[in-house]
Amino acid sequence: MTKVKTLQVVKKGMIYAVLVLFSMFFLFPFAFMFFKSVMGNLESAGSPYVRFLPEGAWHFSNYARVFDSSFLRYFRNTLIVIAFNIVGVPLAACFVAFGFARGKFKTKNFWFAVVLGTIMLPGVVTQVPVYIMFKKFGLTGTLAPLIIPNFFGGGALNIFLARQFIRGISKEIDEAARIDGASRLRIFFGIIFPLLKPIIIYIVINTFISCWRDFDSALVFIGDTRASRQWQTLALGIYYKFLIRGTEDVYPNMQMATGVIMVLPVAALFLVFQRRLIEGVVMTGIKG
Amino acid sequence: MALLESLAKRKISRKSLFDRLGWFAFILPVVLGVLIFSLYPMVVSLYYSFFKTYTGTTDLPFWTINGFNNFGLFNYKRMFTIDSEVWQSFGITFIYAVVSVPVCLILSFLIALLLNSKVKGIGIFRVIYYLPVIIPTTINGLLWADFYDVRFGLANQLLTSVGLPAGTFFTSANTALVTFMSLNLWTLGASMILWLSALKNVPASLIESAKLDGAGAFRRLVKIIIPMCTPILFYNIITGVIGALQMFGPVMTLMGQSGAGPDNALYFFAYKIYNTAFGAWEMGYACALAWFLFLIIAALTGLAFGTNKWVYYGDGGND
Amino acid sequence: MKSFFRTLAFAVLALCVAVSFAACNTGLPQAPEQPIDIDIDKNVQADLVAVVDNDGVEKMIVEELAEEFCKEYPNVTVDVVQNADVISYIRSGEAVDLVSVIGENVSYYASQDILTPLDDYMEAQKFDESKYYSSMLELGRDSVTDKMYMMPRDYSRITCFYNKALFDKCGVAYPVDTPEDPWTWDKFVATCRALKSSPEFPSNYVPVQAAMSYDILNWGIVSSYGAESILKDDFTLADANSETYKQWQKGMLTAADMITEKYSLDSRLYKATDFENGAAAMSFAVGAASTTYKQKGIDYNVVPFPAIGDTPKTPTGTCGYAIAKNSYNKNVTWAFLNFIMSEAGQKIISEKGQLIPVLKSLAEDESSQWRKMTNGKGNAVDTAQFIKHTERDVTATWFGKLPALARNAYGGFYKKFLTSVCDGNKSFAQAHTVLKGQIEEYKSNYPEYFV
Repeated sequence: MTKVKTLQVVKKGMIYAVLVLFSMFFLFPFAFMFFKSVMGNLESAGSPYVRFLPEGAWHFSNYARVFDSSFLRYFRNTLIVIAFNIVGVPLAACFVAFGFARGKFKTKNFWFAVVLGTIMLPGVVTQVPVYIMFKKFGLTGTLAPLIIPNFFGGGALNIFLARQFIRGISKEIDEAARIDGASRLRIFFGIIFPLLKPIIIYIVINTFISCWRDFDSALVFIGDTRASRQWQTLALGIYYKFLIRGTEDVYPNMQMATGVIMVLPVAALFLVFQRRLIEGVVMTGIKG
Repeated sequence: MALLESLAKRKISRKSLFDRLGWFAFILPVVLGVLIFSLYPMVVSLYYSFFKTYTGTTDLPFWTINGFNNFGLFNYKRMFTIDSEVWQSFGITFIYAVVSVPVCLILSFLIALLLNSKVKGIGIFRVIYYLPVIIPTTINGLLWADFYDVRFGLANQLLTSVGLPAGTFFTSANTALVTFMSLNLWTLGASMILWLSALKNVPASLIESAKLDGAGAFRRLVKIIIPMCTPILFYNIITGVIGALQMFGPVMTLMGQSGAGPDNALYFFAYKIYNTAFGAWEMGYACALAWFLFLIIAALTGLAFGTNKWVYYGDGGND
Repeated sequence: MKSFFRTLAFAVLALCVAVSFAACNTGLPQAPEQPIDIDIDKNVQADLVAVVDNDGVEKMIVEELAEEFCKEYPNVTVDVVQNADVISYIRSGEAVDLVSVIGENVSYYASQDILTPLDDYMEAQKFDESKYYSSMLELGRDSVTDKMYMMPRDYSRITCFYNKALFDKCGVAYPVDTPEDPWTWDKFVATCRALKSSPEFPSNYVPVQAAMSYDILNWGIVSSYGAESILKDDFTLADANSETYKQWQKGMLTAADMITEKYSLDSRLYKATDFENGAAAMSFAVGAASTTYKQKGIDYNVVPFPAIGDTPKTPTGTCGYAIAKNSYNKNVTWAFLNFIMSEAGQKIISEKGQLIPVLKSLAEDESSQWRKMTNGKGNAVDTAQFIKHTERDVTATWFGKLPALARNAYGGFYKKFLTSVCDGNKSFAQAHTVLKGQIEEYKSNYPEYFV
């Protein structure tokens, strides 16, 4: 009996050892970023010797250097995009999902299939015409292209999730309201929408994270022209600042301090809402 | 029901447009969205692909497409006969998809198996393993470009300190793609999470009965667990391949201005399209390339769905 | 359901038809004809847009110039835009007036029809060319059409910067250039060797930050051996074993040896930030680099480019400004350009940008402000070294009078040639054969470019 027990202890110990080993691997980027961010200028550039841990003083002042005027502008722009999207996306997604979950009309299934089909549609195919469309309206180089499309349904996956959720809500609730003479709009906003809180939280956080890290569409629609400089978002502004323009303060410690600042909010949100976020990812993965 | 509905309708004497549309009003936003941001661009993209040039003339109403001229097939001719970059970048993208997607799937499955073991505090490890996925693209590029820097990067420092020869990483056409693929190791968490939930869905009773039948751990894995996980496998393969075919941000943030790596070793197809459209402003040619990519993705997706007999959908399929 | 599909299909079809009808044929927006007026009203109203390279110093210089210019013309504003690819920027349809152009790109930009010829303006203005370094003005001229397109901003030649702190640390003597003891290539190589073999020199450092496959630098070395152009009169490559070939080969080997000896790095390992990060002991760079070196606190000084052989050359090439073809404010832009070339403008360029003025009188005047330039540690820089041996200047003449339309393609082949030789992928003879083949094929494919 004791033999079996020790065997189990050894097995558990081994599992922990492997788990910790891998944890170090997955935490490495964060440690690397942090340590580099507090190094001196030349030290972080590997001069004269390459190090992982900073030698001597930790320069926390690097973080203050990150917050120059351009960084604050990028930050403001990202916040604007997020502010619009975290309102627009969940609202639009739930609204549409309500129609798909409760509606009775002929083309419902057809449209639902079409909406899900857009997930498979590669963004690069539509990129150029959508760009030209926005350009004709004079909206390229502004934040509008990052906001407007999201008000039209808020993304197929979000619609799908919200629809699943609404189907889980008993129909009797809205039928009772119906008898009381409430319109569909009132049923949606008065009864169903408040019940969708869990899924809305998921969508909001997910939207926040994806807007925060979005690089591709910001690159295409905002770019780097005279008019668009003032509207560059954080991810894009950092790209131009560190990778395209050279002569500014581009030591690796500054890059990594910026990185830490950009990772922190997302990491914090993720840690707080990790269960819900992972559930959402899993749900879209399994059902989609 | 129908009676109630008609009664409700009759109550409102002057029907607004919203009511007239009925339930359709609710899905109207997404219908418009699909028409404006997916269907119209798809059609127009095909149309644009027959034009030679585009210049960003802005002072015209949106429904005209001035600036495009010379209708013809030359973009397709150029793509298939003249422009050798097309095949080069397509080859790179293809190799990347074919190698990195399966490797990542296997590795993330193994990690998921590890994380599925029932020990205390396993939740913390799951979060840690997932964490690198959330690092923004731009930061990811800066981070790994610095780590893999040949002369001043930590990677070579580590290699040489244990007596291994220094690597060339992103500075040589031979190693650039492999180095780039290695970055996926840190983002295994994304598919690991999916595997994990699939593993959880495998009924414990099934495994118990297999155990009683004397099936070993490996046999249980191959005969029960993996077949039960096939929907996730299917989903991962499709999204992985489509993602690989469309990727350009990560390379750009890693390579900076050149965006294509040494001797174009990281010249991915989507970046080629981006470069054609927003670097050279040859919008017509970019649309032709994009349509080519779209046809390939459509064919691959069709193939995947056509041959998905091996995917286990449980009883009665998934909703 | 069926009727709905029919409606949908009809709508899509109608959309396509509408789009097709709307298509028509235009090119870039064309600016109206603007008669030359060199004496515009000081109260003229204009919002100029200047596109410069993606470089903080470039932007700063134009902004400083604009500030002074706008004091004279109070209703003019100048907005400076940075973009890595000027042609791409102009083709995107954005409004542009002033364009920053690198000397070697002038012909190509001119062939793309995006610049305004300046000759008429210069004539109207009675522009005195003799006041400027002629090698620089020549860079602004399209060698084929013989029209002037760009005003050189500064006198920029490749000089040899050296990091005093690193030399001290390794116990190597500073480079010097005096009539008795000229700074020659042999001495330069000996210095590199001394640095490299010093135990104090870190292994990931490099003796000199120099891009040997950078065409301008490379041409400085090659032309020192006597080559004047790598093309024959019919625009094909110089034949193997011709005199030019031998001279060219000597130059290329000199350059490639630097890399095989690990005194400088090949194009893949090369880093433009080495010298400013203190990781290179010397740097072959133009005067403009001193701003960055100063900002980053490097204790540097300069000597001229090392002399090679009996006819030493100094690689030279500048950046300047041109007027965009689709500018709506050409006269105001010319006024700005004229201001840049005036003494007041040149003073701003040399003082704020730490660049060597292209105006001779200012450059050679020892009391002028730019001559009092200091380095990152506040020590004086020997500025006389920047304008020494002006007779050695050589510009981008490797293609001779090659027509502008072919320049871009030739340039692409030539760049590949340079990297493959300097990175050690191919021998000179092999790479020469490849380049010769490429050029001949191109020439037979596009005969219309060579008329």
